Amino acid sequence: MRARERELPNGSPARGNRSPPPPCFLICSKAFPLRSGIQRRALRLRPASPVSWLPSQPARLQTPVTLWEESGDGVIYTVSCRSPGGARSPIGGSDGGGEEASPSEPPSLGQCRVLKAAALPALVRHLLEAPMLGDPCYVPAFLATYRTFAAPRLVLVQLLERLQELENSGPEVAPERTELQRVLGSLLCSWLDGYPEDFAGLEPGLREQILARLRWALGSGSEHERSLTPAPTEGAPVPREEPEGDEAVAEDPDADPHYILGLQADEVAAHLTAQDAELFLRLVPHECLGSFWSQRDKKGHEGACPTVRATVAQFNRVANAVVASCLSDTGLRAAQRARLLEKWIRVAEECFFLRNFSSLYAVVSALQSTSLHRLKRTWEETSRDCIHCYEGLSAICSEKDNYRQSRQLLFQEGCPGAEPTQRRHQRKTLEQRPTGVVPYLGTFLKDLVMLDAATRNRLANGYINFEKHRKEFEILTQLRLLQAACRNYTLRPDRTFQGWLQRLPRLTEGKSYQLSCAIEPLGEGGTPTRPVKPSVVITHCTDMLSSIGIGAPMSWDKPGSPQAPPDLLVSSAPSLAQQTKWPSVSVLDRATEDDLPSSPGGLAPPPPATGGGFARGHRRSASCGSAYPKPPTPGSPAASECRFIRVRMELQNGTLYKFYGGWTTIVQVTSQDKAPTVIAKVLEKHNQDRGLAPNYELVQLLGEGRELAFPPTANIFYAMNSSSLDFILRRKHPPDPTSPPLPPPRTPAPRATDVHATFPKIKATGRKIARAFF
Amino acid sequence: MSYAYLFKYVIIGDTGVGKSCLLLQFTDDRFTTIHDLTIGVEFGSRMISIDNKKIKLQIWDTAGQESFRSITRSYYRGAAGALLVYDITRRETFNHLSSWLEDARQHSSSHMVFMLIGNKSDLEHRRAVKKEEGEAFAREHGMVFMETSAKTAANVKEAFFSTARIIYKKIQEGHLDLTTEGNGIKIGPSAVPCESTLRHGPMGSGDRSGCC
Repeated sequence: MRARERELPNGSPARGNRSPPPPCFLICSKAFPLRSGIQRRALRLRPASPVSWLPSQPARLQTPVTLWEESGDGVIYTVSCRSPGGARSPIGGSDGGGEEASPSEPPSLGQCRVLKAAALPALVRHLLEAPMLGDPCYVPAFLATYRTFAAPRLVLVQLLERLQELENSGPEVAPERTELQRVLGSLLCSWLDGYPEDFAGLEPGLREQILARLRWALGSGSEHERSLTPAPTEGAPVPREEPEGDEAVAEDPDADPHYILGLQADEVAAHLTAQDAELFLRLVPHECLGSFWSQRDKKGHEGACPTVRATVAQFNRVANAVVASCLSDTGLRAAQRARLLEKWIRVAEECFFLRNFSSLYAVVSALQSTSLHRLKRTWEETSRDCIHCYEGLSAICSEKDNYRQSRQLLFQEGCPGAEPTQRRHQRKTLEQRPTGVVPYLGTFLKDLVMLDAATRNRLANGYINFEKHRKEFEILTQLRLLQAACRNYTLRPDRTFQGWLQRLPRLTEGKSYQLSCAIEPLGEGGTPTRPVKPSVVITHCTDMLSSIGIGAPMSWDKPGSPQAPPDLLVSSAPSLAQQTKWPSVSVLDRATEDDLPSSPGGLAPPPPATGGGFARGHRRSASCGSAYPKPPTPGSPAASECRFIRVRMELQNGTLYKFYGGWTTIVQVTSQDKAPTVIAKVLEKHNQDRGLAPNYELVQLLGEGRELAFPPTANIFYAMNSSSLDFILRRKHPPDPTSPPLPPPRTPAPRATDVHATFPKIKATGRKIARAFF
Repeated sequence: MSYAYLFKYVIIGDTGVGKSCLLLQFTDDRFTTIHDLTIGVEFGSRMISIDNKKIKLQIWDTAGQESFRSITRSYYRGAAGALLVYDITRRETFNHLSSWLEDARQHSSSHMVFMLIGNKSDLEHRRAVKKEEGEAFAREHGMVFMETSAKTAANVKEAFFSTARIIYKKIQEGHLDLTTEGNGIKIGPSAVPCESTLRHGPMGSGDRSGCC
């Protein structure tokens, strides 16, 4: 191989030496932090580094990295060296001529040479060289992104030419030949596996040549041979149809806009997720590349990116369903329309629990749309529970810090720890839900469009800037990883529901605004005072109430909302296991239509409940019927080697410490964790010193006042009773046999002597549970 | 860094008109884009000075997400300024201005300052929309107009600055009520407690006076 390489004509040495900057480069004395989590990049080079990407390296974190460029042979390489002794002096090379690349030279110990830029023939040539040069990511990055600079046919032709050239040049040396066969075999296999569509339209002659090369590399009769033959490729595994919108299903003006009310929120979310997952699995990641997606509206690109368009179409359908269902019937009273808002908020929440960020964004952004946002009276009739939830979800979807929140949650395994919405679902979520994921594609599209705009396609000398494509490949790899995770869903789409989504009339922006103004005329109320403060999320304690037993007298700290508490209590307590479906608004309309005020959105309080009507005290349970968890299934399988528990901190007197408005900490427990480890995690999440762990004990709440306290030696994962995920972190006391069990806190035994020093502002006030206001 | 005001901008217009290039040119975030784009750091903002007052411009770019209609529309609310961009080499992008404008006006505060931008002025030889047409459209709809080139940076800074100056003037003249939400203007952290001082993200902020 080396001999052959040296015989090759030197690509364009003059250009190669002139154009790239002198092989300057900086010596970084600081160790680069390795990214954790998903493989986004091996190195993050801080400002002024000329190199943005290097292939994964074994973590040798503390070794300084030296970087320099080498050019020649029509290629510019970036060379990195991690071993201090093995680096060439980059200073010595800065004579303006550039270092001569010798790609065939095996990289010395700790050195890594990656292609930075080259002309197309050199890029194709490098497909056969990269694996030997310590750049395992070159081939996958090339295959994922090359369509932005060359057509598949051109690359295949050049590859065949290169193979011919290699065969003609130099004597056949057995080891090199074997190596070449191995590399080619691996290249063709990856290509055929990942991008079979590239081979679909090839003319027979070319296909035959590729087939011959494949046989040469892998021997006859390989599995991949079959995928090169015309028959199977025509039925390529990736369905590419599905144009924007499935307009086959006509809009139906009579579609019941309130159909959604008859369904459980989790059912709706499960359907949406099944549908979104199906589309996401069909997504061809490279269609998301900025240079394709940002050109989609230009002439001649009408059919571009079909799988992305299909995803967008479904997103818009869901958003339309939210707006259409809430606005279509202008005759609803505000309280009735509020049930629809609540339903959709719950649906969004369930989507979040299912880790379906696509429909989550669709529903939340629709709820934020002006037409719905401005309905002041409707939002005022929306339950506090739901508003809290909505605010939490809005914060997740926030574009703040470049979508930091949702980016973090997206790549978190299992259920997010900083979960800001209602906790009462947690049990169901954690134990029974499949753990797939669907991202909101817009973030990726934006990243790729930005990346495309920010980086040059070609260097000044005309070389293709392959570094750009490595960056793009990183993002596409994230999508591929998410697609792999998405396969974990075991949900089936409900065609009836999808039919409803499709039949619902599409409301144009103007139309929905018009309807919105018919419901609450312009200038009537101005912007709502309460909803949409996305950055402010205050959870409250209904989940806590339900788990500790409701009915105890409550006092509420904040003056000014005297009605709120009873309302809340009535709705939360009795409906814990409620699973009945709720009648739709249209049904309820009939019961109350006589009372409907003629003015739009009348403020008259609804009549007393009759047969499931919207009595004020019960409206929350009506609207959120689906929001109450099913009783946990004992023994239902937990995630393989870890599970999540929710832990609250208990203060003295049986008071639960509400940190920052009532956080229940969600903690992951692995099969390796003993009690002190878990306690330390909880303390840390509550911003306490981990070192205080020995002062606490972890107690599982088993319901009906039963508890299970774990000794420090206990392995929580195995020792916990699977019927409950509720835990309390309790400060250890001197033996006190009279210590009351918790919950329920109906019979508290104040231990006034034991005031926790770290919570100076908290007064032990018996069963008082405060709640925050918004 | 402290600032007196924060103005939120949104950049809208057809795909491929160079919205993200304008943003990158103005904020000099090219490097961030290449390195840190996916990890959620603040992106697309730049500090400027007007009347010796520091003003932070926070720019939302809808690039890549134009087709997610409800998303782009949710950007409008809470923006103080909008840059409506078309490509002088593609007439259809000019023809779509009316619908963009209508959409944005419907979803934004009535005080939102609009600026019309004909981008790609470096491609004079491929010009498909006359400068006068842009000027006329802007005049008709009460917008400031500028032709820019995100590639050569011509007029880019001026476009963002002049929008900011108009907003600033509106504040000075008392046309904007800074206490109401949704006008896209925030008073700087020197005047009010900063959100970021709360350590626990979204859960931590807000009125906690009711907590025990």
